[in-house]
Amino acid sequence: MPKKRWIKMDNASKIFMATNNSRDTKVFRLSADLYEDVKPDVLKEAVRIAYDNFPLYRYIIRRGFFWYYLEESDLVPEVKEDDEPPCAGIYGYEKKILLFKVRYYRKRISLDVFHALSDGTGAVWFLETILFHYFKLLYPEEFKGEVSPSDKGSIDELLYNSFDKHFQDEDLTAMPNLNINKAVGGNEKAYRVKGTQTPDKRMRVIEASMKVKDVLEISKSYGVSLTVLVTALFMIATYEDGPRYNGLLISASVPINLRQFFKSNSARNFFATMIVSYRFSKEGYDMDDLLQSIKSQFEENIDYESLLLRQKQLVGYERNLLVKLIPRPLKNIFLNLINMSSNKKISIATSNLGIIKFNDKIERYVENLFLETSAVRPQFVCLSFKENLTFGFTSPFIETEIPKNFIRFLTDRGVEVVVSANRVGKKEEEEKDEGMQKLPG
Amino acid sequence: MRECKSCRVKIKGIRDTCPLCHNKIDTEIPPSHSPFPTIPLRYKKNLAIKLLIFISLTVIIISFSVYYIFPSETNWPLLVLFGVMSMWMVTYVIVRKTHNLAKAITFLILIVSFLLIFWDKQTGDRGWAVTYAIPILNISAIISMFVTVRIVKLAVEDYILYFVASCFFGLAPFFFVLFRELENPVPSVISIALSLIMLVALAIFRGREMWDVIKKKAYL
Repeated sequence: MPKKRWIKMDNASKIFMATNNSRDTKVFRLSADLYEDVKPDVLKEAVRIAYDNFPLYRYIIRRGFFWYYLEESDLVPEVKEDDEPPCAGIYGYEKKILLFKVRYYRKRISLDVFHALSDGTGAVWFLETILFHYFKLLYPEEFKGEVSPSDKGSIDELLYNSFDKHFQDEDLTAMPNLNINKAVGGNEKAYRVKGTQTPDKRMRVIEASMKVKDVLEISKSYGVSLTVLVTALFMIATYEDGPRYNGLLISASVPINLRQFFKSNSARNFFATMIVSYRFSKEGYDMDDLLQSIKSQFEENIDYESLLLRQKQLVGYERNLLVKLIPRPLKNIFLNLINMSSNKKISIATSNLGIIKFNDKIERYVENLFLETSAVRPQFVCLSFKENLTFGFTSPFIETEIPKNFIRFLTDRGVEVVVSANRVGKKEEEEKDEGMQKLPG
Repeated sequence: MRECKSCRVKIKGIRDTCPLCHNKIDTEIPPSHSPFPTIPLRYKKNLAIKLLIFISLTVIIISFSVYYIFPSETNWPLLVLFGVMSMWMVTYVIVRKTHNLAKAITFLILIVSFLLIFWDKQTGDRGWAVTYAIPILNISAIISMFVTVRIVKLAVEDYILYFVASCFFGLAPFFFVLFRELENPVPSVISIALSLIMLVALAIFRGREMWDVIKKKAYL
């Protein structure tokens, strides 16, 4: 019997293992909208080929005495029509299953990924590989001689633990100081959004698509980047929905893709997070002041030296022998406690995956791309693909006020927005049955 | 594509109301398909478990009440309480661990051994648990695990540690022989001998696999 390969779990994944539950599944969904209905048989074959070329996605989670680890499996991915809410749970204790799912529905191909396996960037590579083989099977002539997107780096590179590669430092194995929070609020508790939880724990998902140039124009007029603008807007949207009192602290958790600073071709997790905050007053806020504050907090956090130090400390923390020797279930409890206390400092979460560029020939057949993730608080992930900017808003709550405020800010400034939402709750389901009869064909 | 005049957005999906502000929208405009399939609400059906919890608690409450009204010499409601608890522990193992039979067997021996000692103590402390029940339980567990993993074709790495663990459980009667005067030491001696033979066999024939699994499971 050939020996199965196994790899250690990276720094970020460990937190996802400890904190995932039936509501916050730590699953994100990347969806590609094609111009035509998906052909299931072709997709199945494309997934099979992509899967063979993308070793990371073969790995499953196993439990050791001290840590979880990832082990190669010989499971075969199942491709079927979508029959679950977006970001539904994948990982289950005692279940030996693959950590991703490929689903299709009409013109859409969705890739659901458990975050302990891979981050958004890694998932984009895998989806691009699937799409490449999908269209190559459909249009063999056109894709003749093209190299699969997964072959850019070596097979092994996709598997590297980039945290260990870049941040192993012998000097820093001592207990680090975890309180290097540069946000405005420091360690103060932030405002936390309340709402009605969805009845069966599914995510409330709202997708919005617009032209990226329209939003860029707005951000340029304020002299800030698009990421700063949308983060600030989401804070405003939350403020408008929340209670009015002086000193209301709204904090957004924002991930930083470490690949921009530390070279990595790994498809595994490689990001850090920062918290940016702003204190709103009862009367309102000053748009320019808010934007400048967020901008400077971004600049302070997204800096090579401070990222290097912070990450070395985090990696040093898990290399501490005392920490290592704590049995895994106890580690989970500690990580959950740490997570609960840091959750108190976060009101909302935003993430910009940036510009996604596929092979030109693939882009010709893909209309749009969306990313959304499971959330314990209102959250969005945006990305730009071709001429579009898309947002995937998710929330554990039924209410849609915050995305509504956000989108209205944009439509008030003349941006054309197309939205769609999933159905949560009984009332919305009934609405569907009435509507179905009206649709011809 | 339908539109919401209040939010000034276009709406994908067959809806009568805006997904953002929930105001009515013009349904005369032909709609376009939503990218989301409609997924019916799903709830976990835990009725059986709820019923079992209810019955368990009722039985315990009633037996303590009856005991209070009609006192008797043995504290039988306590036995009822532990009986119910034993049932729950065994049910838990069977429900949670059946995907790996070797693991289920290991957990069962552990739980059942403690239950046996407890029952023995509560019913006169005659020592039948350590003399007969536990050694025999260990012997049958080792034999059944040896057979089971072959029948269900469990991978070596999935059962080996549990096998080792149950062999160590099988050595436990050593302490019974040492510290208690057993009326009949034969079951204990058989249990110890069988466990030792199995451990030696594992070390010789499965040493490599065992070491690989330990390296994986215990990496720091």
